[in-house]
Amino acid sequence: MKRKVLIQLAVPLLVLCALFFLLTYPVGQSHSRPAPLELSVIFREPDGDLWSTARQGMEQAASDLNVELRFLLPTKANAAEEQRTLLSREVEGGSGAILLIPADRAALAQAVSAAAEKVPLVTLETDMTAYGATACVSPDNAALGKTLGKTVLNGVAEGGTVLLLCSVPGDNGVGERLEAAAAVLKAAGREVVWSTSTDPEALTREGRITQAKAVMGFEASALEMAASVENQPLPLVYGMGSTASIAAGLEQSRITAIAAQNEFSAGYLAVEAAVTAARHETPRSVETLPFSLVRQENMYQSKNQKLLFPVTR
Amino acid sequence: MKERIRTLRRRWQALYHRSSIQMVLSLSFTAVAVVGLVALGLTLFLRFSHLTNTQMAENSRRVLSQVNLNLDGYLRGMMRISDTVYYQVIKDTDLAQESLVEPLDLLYEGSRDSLVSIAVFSREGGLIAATPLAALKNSVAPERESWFVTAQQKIENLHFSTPHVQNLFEDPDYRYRWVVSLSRQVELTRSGAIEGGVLLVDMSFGGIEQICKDVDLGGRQGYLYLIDSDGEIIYHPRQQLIYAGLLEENNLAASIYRDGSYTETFLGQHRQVTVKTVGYTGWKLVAVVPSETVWDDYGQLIAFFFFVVLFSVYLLVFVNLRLSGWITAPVKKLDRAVKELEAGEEQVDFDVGGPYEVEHLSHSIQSMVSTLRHLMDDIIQQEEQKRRSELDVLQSQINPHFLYNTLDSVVWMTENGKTEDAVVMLTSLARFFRISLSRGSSVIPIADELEHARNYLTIQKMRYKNKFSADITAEEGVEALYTVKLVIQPVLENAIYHGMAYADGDGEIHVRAFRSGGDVIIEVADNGPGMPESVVASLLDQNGPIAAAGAKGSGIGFRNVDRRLRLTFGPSYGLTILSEPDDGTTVRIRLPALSAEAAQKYRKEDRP
Repeated sequence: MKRKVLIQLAVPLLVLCALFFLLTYPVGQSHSRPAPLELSVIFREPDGDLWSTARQGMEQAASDLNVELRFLLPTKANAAEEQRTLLSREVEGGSGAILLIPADRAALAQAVSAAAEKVPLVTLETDMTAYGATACVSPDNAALGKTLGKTVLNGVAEGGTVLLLCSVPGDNGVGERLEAAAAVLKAAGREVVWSTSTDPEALTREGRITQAKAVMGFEASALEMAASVENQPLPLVYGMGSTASIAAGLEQSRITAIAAQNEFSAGYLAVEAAVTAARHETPRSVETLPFSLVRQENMYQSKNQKLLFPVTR
Repeated sequence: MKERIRTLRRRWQALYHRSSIQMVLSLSFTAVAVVGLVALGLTLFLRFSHLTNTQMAENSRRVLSQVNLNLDGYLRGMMRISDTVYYQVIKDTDLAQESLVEPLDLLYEGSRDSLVSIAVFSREGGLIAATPLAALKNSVAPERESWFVTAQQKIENLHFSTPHVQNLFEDPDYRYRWVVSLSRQVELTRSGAIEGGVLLVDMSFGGIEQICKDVDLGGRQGYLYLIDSDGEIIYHPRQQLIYAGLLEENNLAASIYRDGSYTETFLGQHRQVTVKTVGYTGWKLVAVVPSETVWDDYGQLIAFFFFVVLFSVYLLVFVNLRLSGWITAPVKKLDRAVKELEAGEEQVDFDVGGPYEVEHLSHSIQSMVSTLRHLMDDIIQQEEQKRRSELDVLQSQINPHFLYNTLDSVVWMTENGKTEDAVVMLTSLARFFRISLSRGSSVIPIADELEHARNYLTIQKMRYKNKFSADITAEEGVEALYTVKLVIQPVLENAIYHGMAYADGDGEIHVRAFRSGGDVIIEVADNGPGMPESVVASLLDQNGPIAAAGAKGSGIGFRNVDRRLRLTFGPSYGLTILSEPDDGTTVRIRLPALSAEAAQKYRKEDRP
C-alpha cells in the first residue's frame, strides 16, 4: 500500500479515535459525584445533643454533596480561645471548608479573618461576614429577640421582672437576641435582670429566679436549664431551642413558648454554603432563617411537628 | 425564488462539469450510503429509545409492584395484629373482670420491632389499656385526635393515618417517635354490656421506611415516595428536606394520577413518573425517574451513534474513493490515450483493460484510429498518384510537331545531299530524346537539362537556318544540382516561335543558370518583339483559355512548366515572365537548389 493511502487511512482514523474519546469522556463524567471535601464543624458547646437536629441537616447535606464532616466539640462551653485554636488547627490541617458556631465575635475576629483567607468559612447563629466569613446561616437575631420579648409582655405585667439568661457571654448572636428582647421589655416598663449562671441550682441560689415573673433563655442549654429549675411558683419560661427536653418542657407546661427555627435547615444550608464556596459553585441565596412561636397548644400542629421533631432515620 | 433555483442549478451543473468521473462516483456513492446510514441509525435510535422508555417504565412498574407487595404485607401484618387484639383479646375480655394489659403486652412483644404502641380507649377517649407505655399525658385529649374521630365516624373500617409524632404517653426518656396509626372502632365488654371504644395500633414509621428506601429504579437519581390519598407525604427519601422547605415534591399532582406511567415536568425537570396504588389504604407509591438519568444513557448512545456514523462515513469515503478510482481507471487511461492521439503520438497504447464496455470502447477507438490511418494513407497515396499522373500527362504534352518537323528536315537534307547536317540533326535529336526519357526519372541534373536545351537549340537553329544565335551558360556548381526535367525546352520553344521566327539572323537567345540564395534560377532571355502586360498575365493563368493542341503561341508550355514546378516544389517556385513590347522577353525558372541527396526524395516519389 502506498504512503498516500496509508496517510489517507491512518490520519482520519486517529482523528476519529480522538473524537470518540472527546465525545464519550464528558458524557460519562457528566453526572459523576464531585471529589470529596473535608469540612470541619466547630461547635460552641461540648454537648453535641443540643445541636442534634442541626447535625442531622449537616449529615444530610454531607451525603448529598459528597462531604466528609469532622465534628469538633470544645471541652468547655463557649470557649472562644479553644475555638480559635481549633480553627487554626483545622486550617493548617488542610480542611476544605469550616463551619463555625462562634462563641465570641470579638475574640474570634482575627482568627476568622485569617482562616477565611485560606478556606471558605461559614458561621451559624452569629454573623461574622464582616470579618471575612463566607456566609452566616441564622435567623434575624434581633427580630427573634424582639418577637419573643413582645410575647413575654403578655405574661408579665408592667413593672414585673424578667430574668434574661446570658448563657453565652461575649459578642454573639445569642447576645443580640437578648439585647433586642431586653430593649422591648424595658421599653414596655418591665424590669430586666441578667444572669450568667449555667447551673439551675446556682440560679435558684441566686434568688433572682424567685423574683422573676418570667425567664428567657435564647439558646437550648439556657432554656433547658430554665425549664429544669425546681422553684415554686414556676416562672414563665420563654426561649429558643428544639431539643426533646424542650419539647417535653412545652408539653409539661414548664416552658410557655419558644421561638423555633428549623434546625435541620440551618445545618443543611450551612454545609451547603460552605461546600459551594469551596467548589466555586453558585451558592443558594441564603436569607435569614424563618422562625415560629410554638406553644403547648400548637406544638403538634403538622408544621410544628415537622419543625420540632425531625423525621429520624 | 425561481432565480435562486436557477442559479443553484447552474452552479450545480458547472460543478458537475468540472468534476471528474471518479469524484462524481465517489460523492454519489457516499451521499447515498450516508443518507441510508443516517436513516437507518435514526430509525434504530428512535426504536431503541422508545424501547428504553418502555423498559424503564416497565422496570418502575415492576419495582413498584414488589414494593407494593412488601408494603401490603407489612400493613396486613399490622391489620392482623389489630384483628388479633380485637377478636382474640378485646372480644374475649370483660373489662369489669380482667385487664387488657397483659395480653396486649404479649402481642406487643411479639411485634415490637414494627410497633410503637397498642392502646385501647373508651368511647369518651379514656385510656383503658396501653402498652408499652401506660401513662397518658395530661395535655392529651385522645378524643380530639384525628385517628380517634375517624374511627368513630367510620366504624366498619380500619384507618391508617399519615405519619405523625406519637404524643399520647408519658415517656421518661422524652422520645418523640414518628408513627403511622392504625385505628378502628371496637366493641368493649364491661360487666356483660357492650360499649364502644377505639383500638389504636401505632406502627413504627421506620418499618415503612425500610420497605421503601434503597429501591433501585435503574439510576442513582431515581427514587420512590409514598403518599396518602390526599397527596400528603408518608415517606420520601428526602422527607426532612421537604419538611424544612429546602426541597419540593410534586406529590399533590401525583395524588390525582391513576395507576400507570406518566411524563411530567416539575420545577423545570422532565421526569417519568409511575404510580401504583397500595390496596385498601388508598396510599400511592410513586416512582420518579428523571429524564436526565435516561439521557445519560441516551447521551452515550448518541455519542456512540455519532461516532459510528462518522467512522462509517470515513470508511465509505475512503472505500468509495478507492473503488471509484479502480472503476474509472480504464476510462481515465482511455482518455489519456485519446489525448496522446490528439497530440499526434504515433504509438498510442489503447490496451486499457477494465470492464467489458470500456474494453469494447477502447477496441472500437483503436479500430477506428487504425481505419482512419489507413484511409489517410490511401488518400495520400491516391493524391500522389494523381499528381504523378498529372505530371506524366504534362510531360507528355511536348509538341509532337517538333518531332515531325525535325524528321521532315532530316529527309530534306538527305535528299539534298546534306548528309553531314542530317547526321548532326539526327544525333542531336537522339540526345534530345535520350535526356527526355532519362530512364523514367522526372528529376535530372541541371547539366543534363542544359544539354537537353542545347540539343534542342542545335536542331531548331538548323531548321530556322541560323536566324538566331543562342548560348547557354551556367554558374559554377549549378550544373551539379538537380531539377525537374524538361523545364527549359518549352520556354525555348516559345522564345523561338514567338521571338525568333521573324528574325533575320540577329535573333539572340541567352540561357543562363545561376544560384539565388537557396534557389537556382534558370533564365531564358530573347530579344524578340516582347509582349504586352496583359498577354504576360494570361500566359501563366492556369484558368486561362487553352489553344488547340500543337498551335504555336498557345502558351501551354509556360503553364505546363509552371504547374509542374509548383506541384513538385511548392507555390514559391515556378516561372516569372518579364517582357515589354519591342524589348524582348526574359523568363526565369525558380527551383530549389537540390543536391543529389535532396533530389533522392523526389526521385523516390517517381517510383510507381
